[in-house]
Amino acid sequence: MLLTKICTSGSCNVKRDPWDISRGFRGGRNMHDVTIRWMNILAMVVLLLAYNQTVTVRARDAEIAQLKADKEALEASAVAADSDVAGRWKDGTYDGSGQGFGGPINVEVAVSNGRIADIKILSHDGEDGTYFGMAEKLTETIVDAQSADVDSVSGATFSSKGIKSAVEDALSKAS
Amino acid sequence: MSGKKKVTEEMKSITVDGEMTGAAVPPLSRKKTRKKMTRKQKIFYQKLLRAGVQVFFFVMFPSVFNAAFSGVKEIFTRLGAGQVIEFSAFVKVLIAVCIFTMIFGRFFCGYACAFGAFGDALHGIYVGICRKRKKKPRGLNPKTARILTYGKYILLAGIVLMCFTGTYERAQGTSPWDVFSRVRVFNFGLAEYASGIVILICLMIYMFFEERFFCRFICPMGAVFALLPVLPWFHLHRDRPNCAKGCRACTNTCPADVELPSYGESRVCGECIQCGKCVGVCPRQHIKTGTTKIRGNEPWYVLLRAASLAAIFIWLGV
Repeated sequence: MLLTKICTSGSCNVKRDPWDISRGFRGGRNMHDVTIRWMNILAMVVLLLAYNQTVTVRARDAEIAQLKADKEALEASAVAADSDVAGRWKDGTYDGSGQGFGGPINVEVAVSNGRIADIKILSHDGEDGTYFGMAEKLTETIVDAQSADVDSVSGATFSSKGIKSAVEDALSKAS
Repeated sequence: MSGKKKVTEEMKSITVDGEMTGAAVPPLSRKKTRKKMTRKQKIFYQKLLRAGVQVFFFVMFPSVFNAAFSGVKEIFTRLGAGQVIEFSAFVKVLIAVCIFTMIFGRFFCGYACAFGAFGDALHGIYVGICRKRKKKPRGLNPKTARILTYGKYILLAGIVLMCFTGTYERAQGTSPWDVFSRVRVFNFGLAEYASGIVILICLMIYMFFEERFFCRFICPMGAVFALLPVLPWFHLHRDRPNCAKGCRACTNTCPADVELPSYGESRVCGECIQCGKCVGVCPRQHIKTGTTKIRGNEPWYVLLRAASLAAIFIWLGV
């Protein structure tokens, strides 16, 4: 009953497309049907959210285990290793510039106690907003790594390279 | 940019004026002028409006199509690596464009995609040359075109699979989009892009001769959009039972050879890029959106959609 109703009102009136690989089940309802498409989208979103949830929980567990192991290792050695990079650069703030996607990127690197303390981006006129937004978090990565030699953000390679070379440029003035 | 906006505004006022003069003349003669003169004019102004919107988006938001597809690639790369999918800038743009497409159809493709606008400009040159030489522009046979349509799904599946298995890095330099966006900012450091340049030039030749060649047959982002549902209220429909017998004006003028659904059909035409050409060309004015109150090519409706899309992009900081 339902099927015939769908058939008379739905896509059965339409001449069948011999190349349409998606047709053929449930009495002519196929991938062109709007309801089926909405259900697909819903299913995909639910699956991705569930995936994210699972991975987050797993990552958190792994991190807790890692921290515990680190703590034990530290307690065992009981000697805090001094940072070997300390004193690599002279204190002060330095400007640097690098070639990004569509023009120069200018940064200001603050060095205190011989370590990279802060990176500010002064200008990025030639960059596309989205791409630059992706690459921007590299400044934090660089501060954490205390080196401009970090992995580029995938998909935003040129903006990443621009930021990295700008920081390198600034650091070259600091040593 | 402000110049383009002004042009768009001007066009709007012209169209409104045209309507008003049409309403001022007595009803009998009005019918005649509408059928003979005003429809051609209307089609012309629609073209102008669309070109204006396309130029506006090309200047203001030229990298959205690439960013949105980077979102797709990022999702599958992270899925393959077992990492959490973050709401990064790329993923946000992807979600925004997809939601907009699910509401209004592929308006983004028809009006806001920089690569689509580039292709339209190329094809426009071809049509202009044909008109000058008084020859009819030749298009692909619809049957061949329908088979080629599956090319984009195959490409999408290939790219997604490469991202998932982590081998996409090896294909770096083959993307014609990367070459296009680098040339757009006059950055000619294209040493590692030899294959991308060759592909882009081939595509440009095809895009020159066939309207929306890339969008219909190759664009992997278009494949994603073509699989999305569209709210039936804003999907174009035609009143097929009341059409003139054998009339195929809408399908013939359509850049994607779409056979629009009749009212009551729940079919989604994923290939429709909302260009609105069919609405203007229909001799009986039978094509309307699902609400039947909007015809789909009114200047206010086009500008409303363009403005809301632009607002979303500005909000996202594209």
